[in-house]
Amino acid sequence: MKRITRVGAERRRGGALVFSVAAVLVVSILAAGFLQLTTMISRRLGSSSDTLQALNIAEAGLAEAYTGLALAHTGNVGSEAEPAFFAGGLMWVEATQHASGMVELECTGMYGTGRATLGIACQPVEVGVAGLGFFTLEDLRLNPDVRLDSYDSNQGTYASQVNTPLNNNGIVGSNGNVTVASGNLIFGDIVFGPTSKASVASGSTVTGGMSPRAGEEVLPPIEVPAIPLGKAVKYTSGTPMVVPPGEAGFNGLDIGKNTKLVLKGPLTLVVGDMKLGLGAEMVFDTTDGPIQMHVTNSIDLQTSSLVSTTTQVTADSIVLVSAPDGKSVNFGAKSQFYGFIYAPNAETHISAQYEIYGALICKELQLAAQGKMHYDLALGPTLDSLLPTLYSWRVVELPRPAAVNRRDPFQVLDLDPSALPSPAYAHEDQVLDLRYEDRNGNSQTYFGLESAFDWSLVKAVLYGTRDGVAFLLPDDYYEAPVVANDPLVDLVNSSMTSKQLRDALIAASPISSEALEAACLRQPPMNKSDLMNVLQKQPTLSDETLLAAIASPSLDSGTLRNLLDDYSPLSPTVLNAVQTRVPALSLSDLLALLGLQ
Amino acid sequence: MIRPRSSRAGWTLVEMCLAGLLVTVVMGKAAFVMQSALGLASEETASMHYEDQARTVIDRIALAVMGSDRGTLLPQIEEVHSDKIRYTFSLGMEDGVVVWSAPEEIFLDDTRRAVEWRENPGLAEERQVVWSNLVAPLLQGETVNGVDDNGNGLIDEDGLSFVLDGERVIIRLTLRRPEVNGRTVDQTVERIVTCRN
Repeated sequence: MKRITRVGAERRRGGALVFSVAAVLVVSILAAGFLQLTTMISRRLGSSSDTLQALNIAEAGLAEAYTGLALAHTGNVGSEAEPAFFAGGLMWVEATQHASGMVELECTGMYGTGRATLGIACQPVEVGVAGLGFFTLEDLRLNPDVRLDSYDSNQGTYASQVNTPLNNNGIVGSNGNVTVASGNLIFGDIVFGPTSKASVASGSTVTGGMSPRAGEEVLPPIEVPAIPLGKAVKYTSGTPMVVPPGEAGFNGLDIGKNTKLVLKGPLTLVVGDMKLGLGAEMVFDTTDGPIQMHVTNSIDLQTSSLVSTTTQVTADSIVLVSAPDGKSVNFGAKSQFYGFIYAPNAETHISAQYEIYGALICKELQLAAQGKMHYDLALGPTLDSLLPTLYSWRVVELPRPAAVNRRDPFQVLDLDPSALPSPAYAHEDQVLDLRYEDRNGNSQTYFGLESAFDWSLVKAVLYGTRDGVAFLLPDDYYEAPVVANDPLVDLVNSSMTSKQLRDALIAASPISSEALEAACLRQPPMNKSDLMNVLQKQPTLSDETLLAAIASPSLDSGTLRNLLDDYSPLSPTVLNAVQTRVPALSLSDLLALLGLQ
Repeated sequence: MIRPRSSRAGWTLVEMCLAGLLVTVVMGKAAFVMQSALGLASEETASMHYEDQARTVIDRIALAVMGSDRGTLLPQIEEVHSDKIRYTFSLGMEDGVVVWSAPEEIFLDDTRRAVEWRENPGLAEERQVVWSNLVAPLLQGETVNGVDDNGNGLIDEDGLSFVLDGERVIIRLTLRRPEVNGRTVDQTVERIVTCRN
């Protein structure tokens, strides 16, 4: 009975089992299907977001390297063997320097299954063509008694900077030879062509260095704006001709005798032939904005004409001469021209009375004897403009096996994320020369590999270079005489004759104590009367200068007594120097001098 | 004592009918659920497939536009939609100079409903690749009626549209596949990119 009952029960349980198994099977199939679906969705979404993240990491890496170039880094950040850790992924940047000065950066970013390599091409420092200073494509032969120097219009007027270090940073350059004539004063550097040379005549002075340029400068062509040209105008009215702000074009502008042309900025002017007649005047009124004057054929500013600018902002008055190749253009007017003249195809004649404050770039230059040009340092590169110029951005294909392998990048490259540096600390190691203020406010210096330097010590950077390239200069870098480059000291130490030096120093008077001391102690010594003339032209002499005069081999006993008479009673230091002088003053001179004390 | 089994033991006809009915209902319900689930999964898979394809296509378009020179983009007209774009992009540097590509074009082929990429368009050395042939004639939600139906500011825009907005390019793409039961699956993606060159 029990057995029968059990058999019946087993049969019923078997039936239920079939249904149960079928139901479980159905549910399992459904569950498996949904699981597979979900996995597929999440995998695809994950892959998409990984790729996006890798792209972002690569972008960040490029940005790190790009801004690094502005801070004198090399552009290399990490490497495939030791990348930088960033945002849960890794990245490295490879920089390639090209001879043209361009730098190519390629950054590979890896995150999860995502891979991306991006590249940019950039030029580390944008130096405008005006930064060439005074430059000619052909050989540059200077006529005698020319003065080329510099100033910084951001720091004040030229007059306020004469005989300061700012006056001593001129750039005179060429793609060919540079010939300096007698009596020339070059306060700054000469940079001649890569296979050329510089010749300096006796009686001339070059205070800076002379070196070849790394490669020939290629001047960019002038793009003349597409402004319709009106008919040629010959203006002779007594009322000034005013060209209003905006755009204007003339086939020719001939400003007749004793008439006046006023150009009002902001203005873009295109002129075929520009002529200023006898007594005519041209005014660049840049009070309300800059003026860009394009001359497409010829420019002739005659000798007795006048050119002026209403402001001293050199970047606001620009003359671009796109005259045909070999054409000569004439800047003969009387002028103190604050601006930039660019004539890459023209032989340019500048008269002695056309004084340029700014820069001049041309094919050939004929600068009249006694001509003066003052390079405005504000037209050159500044630390604010050090961000590289970006030329192109691109997506690079992924050639590397590690980048193609779509597993976790830390596994692929066998790296520990916690051991990797952040991008800021993954720049290629360089020699760091640093002056900084530490956490306690003390001034400190460091020189050595950057990897050995602890940046957390730094409160503020005062001065810094990497591999000799500056990435931070103090605001008053040019003002502070950290480097003793008073141009007159250089002048004293030049090969000028005593007479020439006397004339130059008297012309520059009053001059600094340093220059006077150098003059007193000069070897070979200045002529006695020449030195005395210079000293007597100064309103007053400091004790330091008097000490130098006492030690001077130029001055004999009687001359020195006459000089010291004027400054008696003397300070104890000077008096002591008089008494211990070798050779000693004559007894009569010494007694006379002591009698005045 | 063992009681003999009754000859009327087992299920009655009524029980059998009820059991059969229940089994049929349960099985039917299970089949219905399964069919619905499979249908849903199939729709999801299709949708995902199209979203995947749409993203792949728009990513390729976006990278091409990102790497392009904004000045060389054609057409140059801003805030008006176009179903094609022509561009050049940087190939890197050679001998210290940036090298630019031959012109390329991405466009909607209306007859084939395809997004196509062409290199050197119109020249003898032209190359052409179809990136997707499932593009909807019009962007999702749009009908040809001279009105902005889908509220994106554009009127009667195609299934692939480019809009220039300053340095930015707005790319929109709708892929469409008709389903067996007559329904269609539309998948629309949008990307805003900035020309880097």
